[in-house]
Amino acid sequence: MSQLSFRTEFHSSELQQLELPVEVRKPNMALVTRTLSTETVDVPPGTYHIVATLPAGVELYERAEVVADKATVVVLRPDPADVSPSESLEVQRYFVGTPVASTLPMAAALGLESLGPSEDTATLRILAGNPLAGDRLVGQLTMGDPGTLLAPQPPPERGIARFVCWSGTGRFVQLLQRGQPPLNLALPISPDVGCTLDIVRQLTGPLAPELHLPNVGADSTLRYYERGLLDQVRTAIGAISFERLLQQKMADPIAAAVGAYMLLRLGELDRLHDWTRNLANMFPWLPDGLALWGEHQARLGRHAEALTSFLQLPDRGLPIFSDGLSYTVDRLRLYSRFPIAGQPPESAGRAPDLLARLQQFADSVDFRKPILTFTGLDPSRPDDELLDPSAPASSELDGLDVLQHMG
Amino acid sequence: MAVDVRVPVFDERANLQGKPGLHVLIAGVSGYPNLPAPGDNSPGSPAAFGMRQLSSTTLTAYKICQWILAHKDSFPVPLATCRVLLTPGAGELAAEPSLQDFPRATVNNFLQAAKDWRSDAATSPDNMTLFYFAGHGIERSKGDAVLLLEEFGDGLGGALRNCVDMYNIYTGMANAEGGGPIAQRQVYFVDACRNLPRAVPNFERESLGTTPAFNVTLAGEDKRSAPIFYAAAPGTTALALPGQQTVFSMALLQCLEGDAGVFEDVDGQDRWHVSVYSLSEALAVKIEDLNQALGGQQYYTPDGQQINKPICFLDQAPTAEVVFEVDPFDALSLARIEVLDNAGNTLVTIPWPLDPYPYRARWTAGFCKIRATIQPPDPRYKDVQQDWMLRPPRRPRKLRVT
Repeated sequence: MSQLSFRTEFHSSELQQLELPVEVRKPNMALVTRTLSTETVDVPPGTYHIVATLPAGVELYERAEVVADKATVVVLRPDPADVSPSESLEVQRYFVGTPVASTLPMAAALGLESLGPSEDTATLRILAGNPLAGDRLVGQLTMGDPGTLLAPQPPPERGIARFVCWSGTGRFVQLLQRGQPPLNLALPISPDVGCTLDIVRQLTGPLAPELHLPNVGADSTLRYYERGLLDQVRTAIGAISFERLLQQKMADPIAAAVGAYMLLRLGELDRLHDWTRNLANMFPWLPDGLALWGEHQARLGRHAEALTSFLQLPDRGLPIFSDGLSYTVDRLRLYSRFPIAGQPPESAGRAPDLLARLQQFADSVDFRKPILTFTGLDPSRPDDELLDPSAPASSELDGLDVLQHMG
Repeated sequence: MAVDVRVPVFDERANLQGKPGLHVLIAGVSGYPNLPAPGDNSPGSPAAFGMRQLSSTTLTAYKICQWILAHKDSFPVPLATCRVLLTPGAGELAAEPSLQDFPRATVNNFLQAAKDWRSDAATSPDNMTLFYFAGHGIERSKGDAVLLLEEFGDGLGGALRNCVDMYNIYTGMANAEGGGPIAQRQVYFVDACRNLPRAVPNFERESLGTTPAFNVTLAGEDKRSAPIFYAAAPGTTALALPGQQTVFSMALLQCLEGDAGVFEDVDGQDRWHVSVYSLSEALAVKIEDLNQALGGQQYYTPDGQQINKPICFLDQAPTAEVVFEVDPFDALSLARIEVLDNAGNTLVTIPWPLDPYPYRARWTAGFCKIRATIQPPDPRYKDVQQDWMLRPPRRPRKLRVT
């Protein structure tokens, strides 16, 4: 047997850190193995075809001739036509895949002044509060504020505004654009770990928010999942790295939650061990811990424990990830209708009430997005009303001017 | 004369003699009698929630049935039963009169067929099941949808009395308390819209009024491979070619015919097949292709417990669509393209210059080399040769000759 290993030649730190899911195939296309780009595999001498798919769907492909008793390193590079024009655009091209409009709208580019309300305005706000507890979410802002920090960063490229979000009491970031429904995104942050928010000017349509987790493995897994690339998801979470994440839950429970959601989705219940319970118990601020533990217990047939977990959600708030809301809503609906053996009597009436409250949010959630994303100017009362493009500016809508920070 | 819903369209149980088999339940609803006909602009009754009859979902369900019957030996286990409920619209009946020979997709018929389907599925954990619904649907969450049956909109009882919900069906098909172990390989296709009509007030109170298809007795661990393929993401609509077929079913059948094909080990043997994972990936591509071709904007979503299992086997290596271009475009007339096998023999003859452009074709999946030779030589460009892996559904390539 000979050793086959892999190397990538990306320039950005995010792509350099990425443990890329790799497929090794024989000339007849039969699969030899799936592994990570950081791993080494033992194969008999021969010809092999190596394929790796980036989170945005771009494929890297190389053919390798493995000779006896000699280690072979395969360099995985994008096709010349797929090479990113710059290091700063690698994440956008290989992780996200959304084309960026790097030129200004025509009028602005010509230096023309709008004679009416400008449609090309965008504001960011951080909102704190627990909508499930009946809080009306209030805005928190920027640097120097004792609440959650939203700090503008140098734009990585034209057409992108970048912000770093550091933890505080903030739960949601809200993007306001005239003529569009206000967009609320749950903040995937913990007391120790923040996230990055890119606001991207697309070729067509409104500005698009893109949240990035600092853990590249978790971030890429969410992207694979969003694209339906389940082989890649399974390979990525099959790595020791995700299990280490769950063991290092004190370090990054958000990334650990991503791993747990993926294991649940792929039915790998045996690999969850006690991690979901630990996520629920050790992080009393993390709503997803309750959703994960609840769904995990339900899959194991322990429905009374599952219901108990779901019913605690109002104390913590909405899950950060949309799968958490979906699991909770579906199970509560089930338990509202069919009795559970061993169900605590006091919970019988609470499930329908909580279900009704959560359904109000579920109606406005974009479930295509892994991170909870829903519309509504008042996030505690979601709706799909558009922000009136002709309404005068109001202090209620004050926030961080996105376009001022866009490249 | 009503057709007996208890008689499956296809029934091989006697011949299988208890061996594992595939049990299929298909329902297609178009001609909702309580909804205005297609093209009728009258508002309809309040119970109709602004919806109209459909013109292609029953034909779609029929085509799915026909495909399954034609490929009855292509599944991991033999086709054992196929139950089909159809409520066609007038146009569909005119196009395909045999649609009237099926039991209608009424609530009672659906409940009976589902009961029988489940009973068959529960004869062995090695069984497999397939569910396909095409008709109107309403969103509730990512993992759920309300499926509207024939009598929807009759104004009797709760607004959703004549509906079933997907999550009830899904959880009802898990192992039940006191019941035998049920089929552990299941696959669901929900070919329906998942938007929330504005006419639906206080939806959650209404939603508790759907008719449960199963009495769910929660028991035991759920280790099924049970993916759900929703034609539309929550909050979005599913689209169709009027009077013909739904976009989702077109994409699905293309995938099952080979566009989702993978060559991997199944029970110790490498075989071309369509798996849960390969279908998940390929469906997204095919639906996007159809969106572009038809001007639609449909987004499918997978859900359920997505454990990778084979769905159907392919008789031979599938073809993959190739799309390639020359970069820069100015080099097009000079670049002679050849496709070679690993020994350097010509595999496919390509027009020179490429025509049509971008060049599109379907070639058998596999590995090849693609070579661009600049003729006559031009200092601005260079000859290139690249290895290329062709696998379904589509492989675009841009040959850079600079």
